[in-house]
Amino acid sequence: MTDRILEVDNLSVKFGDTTVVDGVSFYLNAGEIVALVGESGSGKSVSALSVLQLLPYPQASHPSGSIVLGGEEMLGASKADLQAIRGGEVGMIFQEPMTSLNPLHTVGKQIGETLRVHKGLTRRESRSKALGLLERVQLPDPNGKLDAYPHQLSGGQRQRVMIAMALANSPKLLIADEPTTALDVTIQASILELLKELNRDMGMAILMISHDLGIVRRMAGRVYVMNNGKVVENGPTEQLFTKPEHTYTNHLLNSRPSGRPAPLLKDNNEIVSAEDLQVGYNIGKGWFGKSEQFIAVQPMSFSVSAGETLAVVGESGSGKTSLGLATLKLIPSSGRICYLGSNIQDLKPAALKNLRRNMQMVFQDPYGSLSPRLTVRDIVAEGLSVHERHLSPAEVDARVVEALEEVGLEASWMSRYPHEFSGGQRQRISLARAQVLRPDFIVLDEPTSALDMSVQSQIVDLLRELQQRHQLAYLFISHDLAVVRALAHRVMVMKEGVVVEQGDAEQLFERPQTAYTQALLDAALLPED
Amino acid sequence: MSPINARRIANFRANRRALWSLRIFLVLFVITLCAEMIANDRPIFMVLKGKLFVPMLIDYSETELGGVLPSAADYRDPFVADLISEGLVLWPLIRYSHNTINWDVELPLPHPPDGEHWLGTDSSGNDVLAKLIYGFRLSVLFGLSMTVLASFIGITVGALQGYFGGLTDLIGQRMVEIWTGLPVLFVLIILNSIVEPTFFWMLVTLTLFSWMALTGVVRAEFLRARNFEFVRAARAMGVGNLTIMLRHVLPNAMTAALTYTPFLLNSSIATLTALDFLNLGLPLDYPSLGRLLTQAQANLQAPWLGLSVFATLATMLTLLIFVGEGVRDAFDPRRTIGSTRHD
Repeated sequence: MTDRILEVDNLSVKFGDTTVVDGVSFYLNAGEIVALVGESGSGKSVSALSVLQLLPYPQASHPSGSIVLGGEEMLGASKADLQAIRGGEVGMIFQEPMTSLNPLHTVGKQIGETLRVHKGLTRRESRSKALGLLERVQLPDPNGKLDAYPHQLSGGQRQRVMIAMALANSPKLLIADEPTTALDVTIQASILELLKELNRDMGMAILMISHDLGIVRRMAGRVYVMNNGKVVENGPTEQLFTKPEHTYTNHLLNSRPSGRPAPLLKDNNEIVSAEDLQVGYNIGKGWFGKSEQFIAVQPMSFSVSAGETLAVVGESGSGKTSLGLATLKLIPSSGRICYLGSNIQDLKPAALKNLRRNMQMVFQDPYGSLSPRLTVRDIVAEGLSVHERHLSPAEVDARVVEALEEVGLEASWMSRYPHEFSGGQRQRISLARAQVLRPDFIVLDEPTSALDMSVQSQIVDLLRELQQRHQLAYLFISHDLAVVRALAHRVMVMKEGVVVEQGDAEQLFERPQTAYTQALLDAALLPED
Repeated sequence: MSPINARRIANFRANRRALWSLRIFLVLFVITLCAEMIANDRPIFMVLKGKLFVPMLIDYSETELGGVLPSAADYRDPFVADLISEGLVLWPLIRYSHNTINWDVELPLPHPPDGEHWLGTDSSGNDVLAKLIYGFRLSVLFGLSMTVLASFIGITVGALQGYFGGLTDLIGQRMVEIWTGLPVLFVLIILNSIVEPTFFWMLVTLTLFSWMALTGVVRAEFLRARNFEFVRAARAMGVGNLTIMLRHVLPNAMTAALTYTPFLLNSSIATLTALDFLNLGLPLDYPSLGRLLTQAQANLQAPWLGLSVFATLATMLTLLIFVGEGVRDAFDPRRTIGSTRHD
């Protein structure tokens, strides 16, 4: 194959005075799948966006380089030429299917728009073509979905619509910017399958941008590894994965969360348990109408002992977060919740407040869970100001320093604000906030899923270390089986509010009993180790 | 000082327009705060026959100064002027107060600007410059106190509605709507015809009808922020409702609220001026810019009246808006100068 579709040579991108991409070169042949891999901030998305000149010019500029697409130079191309190429020769799909479709137009109209712009089809023609495309991307009930609005579709269906839009003008090249990051694992697998099929059947080249090495290994023929705006290594996928040459590639490959949880101590006592716990939300309650209940978590029971991690695994909508919130009594529920053997379900607010110091929570979004207006010291010291009011300011400082050092942060960062920290550091601050009260039970709600892979494994190591040192009990909520495997003693698999399988982690990973668990494991692309 | 305030001040100082506006405004405000020392119809102090008199603060009778009448001394009276001429007398820069009538002025009134009256007189013989100085002080004090009061009420109501939501919000919102629907002007006319308005009466009645400006934005911010993860985190920690509202939610709502306060401040000054202009505001013995405007309208042949009031109001409102914008931007943590990420 010598039919070169895209050749990027020595490309640099500057935002203002900051160089984001520095002398990057890569190429794509027809029918090839090539991946740009890197962590956030490595410049992989910016490189891909500059192919279609989609950067915010004039803040962005290209001091050097050339981008040749199908024989034409893209840098400095006229607006009309660019418009013909975007959505014509080159299609693009984005990470976030929730926001990349216009919520006010039907699916059929949005697909038809590209067809009318680029091919000058009439309304009727574009509708029947759109229907064909929806069939092509295997959307269930394509005829009915033509007149559906984006909010009526699930995340995976929306991504299929996005792909259909990108395919509308049978492009030679598809740029896929983290196409499955926002999706559940089982849906992720089917979307990847679809992309691979399109590549095979239509001979369409795909430029994938991803941080997920599992996906890249499965999809791409060649890989470019990017770090700090530079391509540090490239080569055929198998070679790069088996014999990485650059230290950064090595670091990336070894940064997947690994290891196993520390063995449990003998005769550890039970910290938290629940019996017949059920969570329901009132929906559609009118002034006089009967209130309906949506059951997020069907009656279920579990228990966690000191030093033990119970992982709750499930896809979005499985009720796993509701379960975590209900366990801490942050949302109403029914059934028994016991802390050290006594039921806390009917406690008075004051008694519950005293209990809160022993039961903490760490949230998923490291950007949303820290108040942007408070300093790190104030954030971490908050729990102390509620539960240990007798402490003097100096004693509070000492406790904050202790907690920060325990999670691997520097004491001198106390007076800084959350926005000055990276995602991983923020998650450490969240942990320090929980840890400062010396709780014995922590609910971890997807604490690693918003982080880069190498940061994830650091956080996993930290969680393990804290657990061992303080004999903490974790209720670990996650959809990421790689992380679960590295942390959990026992696993509970949830689907649509029901526990479909639970048991010892080792056993569950080796010999899953239900088809659903098996499907999750298959889709998760776990590394062999 | 906590680092957050240090940073706010640094942010404010980096905004040159706001900084200079604040400096100019403060100079004007301090000058007008001491209006009695600048424009007055009695001396600041005088030493007469070895005795110290402070006429600015204390009313002396003529007999105390060595005259014959037992009534309060009128220092503009030629007889009294004669009495004190031997002593050491410190007069203010402008020898007229806002309500001093200069009987000696050449008719017809209003008298155009000259060496005696730098900005002329109005139609009752009051010095315009003296009136402006006192009027500026009155307007700014009124505006500031009304803004503080109205913000306090508005933010409290909005915060309670937004934070608790549900029925509290439903009822509160309907009450606010009904209250907003009242025809303010008519209510003020009726109220002011029953009670002789004073500064505080005007302050209370106008505040009653202007606190709703902030309720909507604060409510929206609280509704949004109460579901933030850091609020949830605080609840998981056992922090009480009041603390969560004050510590976690309110600071995030303050930028939105502060966006409105410069306008609230300016509109309160403008409303007072407008009511005075319509003769519905403060009574005659207050130095009001609005009343001066009424006179300017009645005496179009005397442009110094209208022009000087216009210049005063325009300067005051512009400076306040610039300062308000600067304060608002300084409170926004996302606008920082020279901040760095540590990755």
